[in-house]
Amino acid sequence: MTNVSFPKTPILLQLYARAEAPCRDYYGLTITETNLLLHAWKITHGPHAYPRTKFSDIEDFKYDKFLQEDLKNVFGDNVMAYLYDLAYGRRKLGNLPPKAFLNIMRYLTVNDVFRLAQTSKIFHELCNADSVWRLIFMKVLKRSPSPEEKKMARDMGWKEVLRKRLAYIRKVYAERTQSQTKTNPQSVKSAVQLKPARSTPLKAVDQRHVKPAAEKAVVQKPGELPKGKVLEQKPVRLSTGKVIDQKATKAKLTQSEANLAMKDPVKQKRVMLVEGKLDQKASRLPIGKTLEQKSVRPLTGPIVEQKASKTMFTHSEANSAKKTLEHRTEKTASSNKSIMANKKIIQVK
Amino acid sequence: MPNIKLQSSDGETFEVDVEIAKCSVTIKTMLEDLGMDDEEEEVVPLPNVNSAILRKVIHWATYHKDDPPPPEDDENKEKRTDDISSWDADFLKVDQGTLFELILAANYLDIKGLLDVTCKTVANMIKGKAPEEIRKTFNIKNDFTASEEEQVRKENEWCEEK
Repeated sequence: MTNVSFPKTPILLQLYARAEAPCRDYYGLTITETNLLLHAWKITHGPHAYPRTKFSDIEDFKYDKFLQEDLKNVFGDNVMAYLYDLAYGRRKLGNLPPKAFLNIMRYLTVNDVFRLAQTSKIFHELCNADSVWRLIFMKVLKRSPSPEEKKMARDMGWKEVLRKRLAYIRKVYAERTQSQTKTNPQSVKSAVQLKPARSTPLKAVDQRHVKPAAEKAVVQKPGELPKGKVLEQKPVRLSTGKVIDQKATKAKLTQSEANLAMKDPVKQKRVMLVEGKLDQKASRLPIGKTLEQKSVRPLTGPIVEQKASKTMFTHSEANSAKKTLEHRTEKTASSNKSIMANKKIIQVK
Repeated sequence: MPNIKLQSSDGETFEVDVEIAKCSVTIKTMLEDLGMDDEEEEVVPLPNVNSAILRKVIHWATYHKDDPPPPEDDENKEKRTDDISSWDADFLKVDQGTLFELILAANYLDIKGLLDVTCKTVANMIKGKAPEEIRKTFNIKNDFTASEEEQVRKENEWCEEK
C-alpha cells in the first residue's frame, strides 16, 4: 500500500459507490480541481485492514485507461463526464469551486436547492454538503446559528442540527397550543394574531445580558402588546432526577422560530416562512427576543450540567429526559399560560 | 494614472489602470505584498485566467470602476436576484461556458461585485424550475432510477418551504 497524502486543493466532489455483484467492493472517490483520489475497500479477496488507494492527476486521468475503466464501472457515465470536463477544462455548474457554488446557493430558496439536488447523483452530493446545509439552516430559521449549535454541528452536521431544532420547535408549540386551547381559547387566538416581531440572531453571549422581556416592555409604544410574553416559560422544577441544561437540548427559541411554529402548530409537518420580510420590519422593539427556558433545578439531588460540547445526549437519553421534563412542563405550563393571559388583559386595559 | 500589465494564461498582456486592476483583491494584495513600484514596468501573471475572459473582466471592471464597494453580506438576509443592472445583464448575455469561466475568474481574482452578479445570473437560471427543467438548462443527465428519484424527492420534505 502506498502512502498517499490528501489533496491540498479544495475538494469539489466526494462520492461513494459499491461495485456490482458479485464484487461488492466499496469505493470512495475524491475529486479536486487538479487530482483525484480513489479508495477501494476490497471485500471479495480476504479481509483487508486498509483500502487500496490510487492517486492521480486529472491530467494523467486522460491517458490512464485502467483507471478510466475502473471508474466507469463503479461510478457510471456521469462521473466520467464530470472528470473529462475537469481534465479538459470545461467549466460547468457542477465543477465550480466550492466557494462559488455556495455563493450561487445563497441566492436560491430552500426548495430551489432541493430541486437542484434531485437532478442527478452528483448534484445530490453537491447540494448535501455540510456547508450547503448550514446555509439551509439559516434560510429556514432566518438567523445565524448560536455557538451551541455550531458545536453540535461539528459532531452531527448541520442537517441533523436543523432537523432536531425544527422537531423541537414544532413539538413545543404543539404542546403549548394544546394546553392553551384547554385553559383559555381566547389567548390562543390572540397569540396567533400577534404580529411577528423582529427576528434577532441568537447569540448566547448576548442572551445573558438581555434584560427580561418585562423590563423592556416599558419602552413600548402605547397600545402594543408585550409580544414575547405569551411565549415565555418559567423555570421548571423537578422533584427528582438529573438537571438538564436546556441549552443542550436547544431550548431557546427566537421570535421568528416561534412564528414559524405558530403558523402550523397542529399539522406539524411543514413550515411556512412567507412572512419573513414582515419579520424584519414589523417591530423594532427587542421584546420577547427569545423564549428562554431556564435550566431546570431539582429540589434534591446533584446538579449535572450537560453541555452540548462535551457530552452529547444519545438519542434514548435525550428522549427519556425530555419526556419526564415535558410531563412536568405541561402541568406548570398550563397554569403559567393563564397567568400570562391575565397579565396581558391587564396591560391591554 | 499609473498603469499595470496583466498577463493572461495564454501569454497575452493587457495594460490596465492600477485603480481598475485593484478592484481585484487578489491583485491588490499582490501589489501591496510585493511592494511593486508604480514606476517599474511590472507584469502580473494570472495563470488561471485566459485572454478572452481577462478581456471581459477588465471590461466589466472599467465600467464599474466608480462603484461604491459592495456592502458586507448579511448571511441571514434573503438575497435578491432581480436587481441586476441592465448593463450587467447585457454584459452577461454569454454562453454558459463563458459565464462559468467568469465566475471562476471572479472567484480567483476575488472581485466580489462580479462574483455576485454572475452567481445571481446562474441562480436565476435555477430559480423556480422543476428538476427536469434544471436538467435541460444545464445539460445534466438524470442517473437516478425511478425509485431513487422518488426517495430523493421525499427526503427533504421535513424542511421544505410550503
